[in-house]
Amino acid sequence: MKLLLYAFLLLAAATAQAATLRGTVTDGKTGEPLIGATLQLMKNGTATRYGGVVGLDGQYHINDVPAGSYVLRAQYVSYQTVEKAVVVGAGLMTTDFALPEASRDLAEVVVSGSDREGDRSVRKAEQKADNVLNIIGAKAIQLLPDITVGNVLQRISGVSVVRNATGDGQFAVIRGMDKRYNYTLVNGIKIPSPDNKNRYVPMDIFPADLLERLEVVKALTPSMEGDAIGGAMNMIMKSAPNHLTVSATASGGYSQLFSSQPFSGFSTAGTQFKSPSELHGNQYAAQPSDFSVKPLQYRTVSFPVNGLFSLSVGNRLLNRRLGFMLGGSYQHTYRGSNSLFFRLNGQPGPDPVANTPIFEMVEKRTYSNEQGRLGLNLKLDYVFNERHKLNLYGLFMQLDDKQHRNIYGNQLTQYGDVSITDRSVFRRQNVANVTLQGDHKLTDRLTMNWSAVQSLAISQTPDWVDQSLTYRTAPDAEGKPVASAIYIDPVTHYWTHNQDRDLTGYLNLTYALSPSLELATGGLYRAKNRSNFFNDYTLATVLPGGDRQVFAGIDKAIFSFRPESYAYADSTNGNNYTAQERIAAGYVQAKVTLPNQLQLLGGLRAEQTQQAYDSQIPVTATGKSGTISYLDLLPSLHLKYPLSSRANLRLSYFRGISRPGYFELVPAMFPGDYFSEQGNYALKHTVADNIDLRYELFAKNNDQLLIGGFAKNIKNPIEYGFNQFTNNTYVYVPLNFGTAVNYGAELVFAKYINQWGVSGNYTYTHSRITTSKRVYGRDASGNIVNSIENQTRPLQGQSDHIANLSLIYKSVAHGFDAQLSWVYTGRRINIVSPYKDLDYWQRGTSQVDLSAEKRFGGHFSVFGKFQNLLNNPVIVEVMKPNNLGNLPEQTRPDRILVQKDAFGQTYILGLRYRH
Amino acid sequence: MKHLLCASLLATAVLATLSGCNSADETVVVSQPLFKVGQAVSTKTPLSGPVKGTLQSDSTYRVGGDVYVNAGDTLVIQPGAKVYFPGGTGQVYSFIVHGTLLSLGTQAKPVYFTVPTAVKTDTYGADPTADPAYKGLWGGIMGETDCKNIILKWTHIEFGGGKLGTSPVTYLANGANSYPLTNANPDAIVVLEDSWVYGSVDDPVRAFGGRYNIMRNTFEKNGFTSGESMNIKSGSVGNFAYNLIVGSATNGPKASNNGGKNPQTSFLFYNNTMVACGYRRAAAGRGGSLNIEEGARGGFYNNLMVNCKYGPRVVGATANYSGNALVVADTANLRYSNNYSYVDSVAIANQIYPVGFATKPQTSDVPTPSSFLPTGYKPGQAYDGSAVVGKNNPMFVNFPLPQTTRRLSDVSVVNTFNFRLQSASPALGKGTTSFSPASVVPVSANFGSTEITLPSTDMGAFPANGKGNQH
Repeated sequence: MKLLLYAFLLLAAATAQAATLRGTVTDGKTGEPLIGATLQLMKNGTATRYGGVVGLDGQYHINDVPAGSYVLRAQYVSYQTVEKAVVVGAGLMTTDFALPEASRDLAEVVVSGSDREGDRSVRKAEQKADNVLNIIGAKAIQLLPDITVGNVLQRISGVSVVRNATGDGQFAVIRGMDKRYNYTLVNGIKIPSPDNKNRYVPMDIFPADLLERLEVVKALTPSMEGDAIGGAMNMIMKSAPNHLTVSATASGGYSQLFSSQPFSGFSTAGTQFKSPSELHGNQYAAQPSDFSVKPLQYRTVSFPVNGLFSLSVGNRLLNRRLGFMLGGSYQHTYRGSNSLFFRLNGQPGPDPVANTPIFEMVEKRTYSNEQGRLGLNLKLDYVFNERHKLNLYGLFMQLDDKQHRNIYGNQLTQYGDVSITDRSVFRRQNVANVTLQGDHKLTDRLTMNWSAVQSLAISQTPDWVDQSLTYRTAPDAEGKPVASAIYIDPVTHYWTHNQDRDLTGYLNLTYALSPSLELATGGLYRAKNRSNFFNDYTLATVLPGGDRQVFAGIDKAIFSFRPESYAYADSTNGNNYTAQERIAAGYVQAKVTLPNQLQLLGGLRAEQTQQAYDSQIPVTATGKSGTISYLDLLPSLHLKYPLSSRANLRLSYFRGISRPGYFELVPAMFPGDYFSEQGNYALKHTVADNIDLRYELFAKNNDQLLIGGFAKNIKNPIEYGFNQFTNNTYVYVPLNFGTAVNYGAELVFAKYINQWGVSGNYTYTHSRITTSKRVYGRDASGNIVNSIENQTRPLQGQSDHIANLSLIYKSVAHGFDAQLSWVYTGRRINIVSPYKDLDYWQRGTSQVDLSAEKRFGGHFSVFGKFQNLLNNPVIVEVMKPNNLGNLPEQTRPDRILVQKDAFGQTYILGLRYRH
Repeated sequence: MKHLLCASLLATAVLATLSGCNSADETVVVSQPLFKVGQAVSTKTPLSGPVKGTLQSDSTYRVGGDVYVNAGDTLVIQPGAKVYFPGGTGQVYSFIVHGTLLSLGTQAKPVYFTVPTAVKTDTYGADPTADPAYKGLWGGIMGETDCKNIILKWTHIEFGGGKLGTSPVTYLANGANSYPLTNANPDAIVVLEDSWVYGSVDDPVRAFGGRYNIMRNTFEKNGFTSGESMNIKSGSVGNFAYNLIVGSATNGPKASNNGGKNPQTSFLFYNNTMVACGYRRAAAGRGGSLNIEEGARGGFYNNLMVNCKYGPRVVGATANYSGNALVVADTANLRYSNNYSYVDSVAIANQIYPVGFATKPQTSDVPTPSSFLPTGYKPGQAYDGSAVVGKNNPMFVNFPLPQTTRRLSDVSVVNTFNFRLQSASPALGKGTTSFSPASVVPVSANFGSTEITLPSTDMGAFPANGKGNQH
């Protein structure tokens, strides 16, 4: 009977036109759509040419299927394959699949989710998280136009970036809180900074393609380190897959900038990493022959092509007990920018009104940066049994940046001196980390987790060289400008290196009292040692007899040490210091789920900080060395109420701190022409109370809506201000300024319709701080006086509005993905001026990027990344009336442009292999 | 008889008057004890660390480390005392003054701050790159931000201004060049009188605030490839007068209001003689006699400039010099007139009123502006000064003009020259006395200025009345 029916149907089908098959493929357990699941029509055990893929809307479509009897096979990575017999007739036919997860040994120990890199699991992780965070997964990162983590960060809600000289994101401002208020984790472990003075980590060191996920945690739980007020950035590196996985990319790129300006680089072959005094001792009188002019011999690279390569291999071996993932990334890029820079005098003028900005010169700055970015990541895990597992993480990052900065100082007046300044800086930054970690299920209820961590962060600038040439333009008798010969000014060589060695041990215990009550306790101890080395040598160019030296090529320049005392190392330079830090922290934390599904997670963290420094200030002065210790008690409470299986309401409170930078405490004096700068050992650490409220909706098909608000009350924020030193002397020092407030709102959304998606976020932030500033003006009787006044302003780096908007096209059927992304960073203070009303404001900026990827042949894809399509410049202004209308780029009467940076478009085309 | 009586009465009266009406008593003149405070400091151990009391007359003290005069302490240096610095590598020692330092030399018995092993190479045209004057063999006398007094009278300050190791003061960086005399407290009293400042790597006198009387001194070989005889920053007020400056690297005195201190820099520069200044500036030319910039006020009068690279320069518009901003002086509160220039070359004749700057020619100046400037001349305009080359020879007692050295820059010391004016000098009587010196320091034998010499109508540091520079 059944056979007869089939035969009939077959006959009917043969005479019919054709049919369309459609349906959904979902997770058998959760019902989540499995986007990207593939469907294949099989006939008599072999594949036909008919197949389909689940699109962003969760549905698959297979068109024009001839009538007949088939087997429809649905497949998805790490799920069991399911086949269903279908008899295709005419018209529309719906077949839904629910795939069970692939059964595997030790499944629940090895992985807690499947496909950790995809959007689906990322959204799920956000929903399941105990606290407020935002995550971007590797799949999404892969489609972004960004190649460094620094640039990826700006795509995340509430995050804007501070760019480096070549326009790449370097530091993150999270919810208006500047870099000092945030910390960086790798695999949940805090890493030290290669910065010579501060604790924040430059995020442009990290290549994006090693990441499995990038999390930005905005509310701290008791088990997390407490020194973040804006948030914590957690880079989770790729971890061992369940089966052999190999992926590799190779791509090449070009910066449009170098079609209009040459790339002018220098060689670092043979660079001496040690200064003469390090090689021969402090008593060594350096010879001019100890110094190379090679860094000043610039060479043009006629067609600078960028090369980017990555390879990752992972598998599970030894009866699936040993998992490994080895990732490597190398990016060799030519970057640059050109900048118009109006250099302000260090002191404003008193006329016609106080603090009238005075400009010294217009500089045309041209940057050529050759960067080599190497990242290596190894993750090993060994599963002894269901109860015990060991992990070993290794991380090595190296960023070599060779920067040539040329400044043509075209002065504001017609006559005078014109200087051409070249600077060659070769900076090598390293971050290395080894973490051994154990997970132990001691009893059915008690689990233990420990980590032993050694990290090292190093920055070196061997033989940084500054050189300038000067000529003079003077009017002749008719008033025409006449240029003099070009003279070479003294040349300075610097050697600096600093390192931060960090040893940390973590221990966490979790006890599940009942399925709805989990208690946790634990702590960490960290011992950190930092050292800083600074040496400089200035070579005179004055000729015997006292004449100035006419420049005839750097290789022909005659150098000497005059006076002879300059041949000795300045080992007492105030930048030489050492610092130690010991952190001991402990916490207790409880997680309760009430019968009404309200989840409470809360507890208390205690952090004991002990800092010490030793400086170069004389023993006769106060504060050559010092120790500072303090204890913080950091309570937090996180409420999560599931409104439905797809929606949460969260309310969080946490107290966070921010410790002063290592060097900010060191009272070394740096005298300047207009004010002296000094560290301040009396500086207090910042403590902030933070509240978050967020509604989350995780709809089907990865659609998402997050709406939230936050408020921060920040006690003792650290900003620079004037401190009275003696009766009549003020110094510019880091100071605590009362209490600042910061509040705002965030919106995140994603909506997918079939192959099309729109996602975006918007953050509003409002902060205010009042600091002391200098006013330089006249008193009633016409005398010029310096006075101190308070000024209220937003926190440095805080934009009122930041936004992202992306248009996404993902055609699984055609194997083609594309994304058009727009980032907006609202106006913000870039530099806080010591003078009232002279802060540097960065104008609101947009950047538009495009990326696309096309898969072919099963394992391959080609991709393209096109950045900064509109070549939007970064413009910085001082909000004062403008009387420089005759000068370039000065178009607004109500503000003065002080900097305009252009970076140009960059293009990358590449090939990806994945197995 | 009556006449005789009258005559003898008159004679008696005259005698009585002459003898003070007390002819029976002896006339006794004895020397007074030298001013002294606290204990005498021993010459046996090198000076190092905190020192107070008295460095005794005619004694020699060796310095073995940085010397501190602590707050509340006083160190007196009696006439003829010598303070010897070792001058070796890594021995750039300084005197750091929190309290009061009084160096009370006399014309007969000056005090010395010097390096005894350093040999002066004072032949004209000697190579400055090989001259120990520019090596910086010790640091300086440094007034800290809480300094009370630095009084230097008849004192030789030689070979100082070296590169510091660890800076002993808060306002100079480790590894920076020091200044032979400097002070950073705007409330401190600083007097430099009748003294000699020889050599220095950068500025021999740097004022980071203070109340100054810098008078009747001789400045030689100031600054190696840059440096002014006195470089004045904000918070500084006073006089700079009757000084003889020979061969300064850049300017004689320079005043600016940068540095962020109160009060506004206000200085009077009068009756100085400046010879062959401005030629050792290795970076671009920044002036060669007198310079007023960035918000500084005050005035300059009766200065005599001979073969200086530039005339007095008033910065009137913002410009840039080799990375150093030149910012407008407080021109509304700046007065000047009656300055005298003599030049031996067209190049410097063209810069008597420096091109590109705001110095306004005054009819009282010599040479008379109308004798060489074009009609309709505007400050800063280029002009042809060839008409005044070799004109208005001030007729020094011993300094042949036109200059006979190979180059104008070859003169950097006084040596056997004598810059007093001959009686027929056209520089006599060309000055003005229409202003009053600043009185910001007390007049006192020990704690202030011996005499604040009033302006003279005779140009330069050596007026005919003999009241000027005594060297």
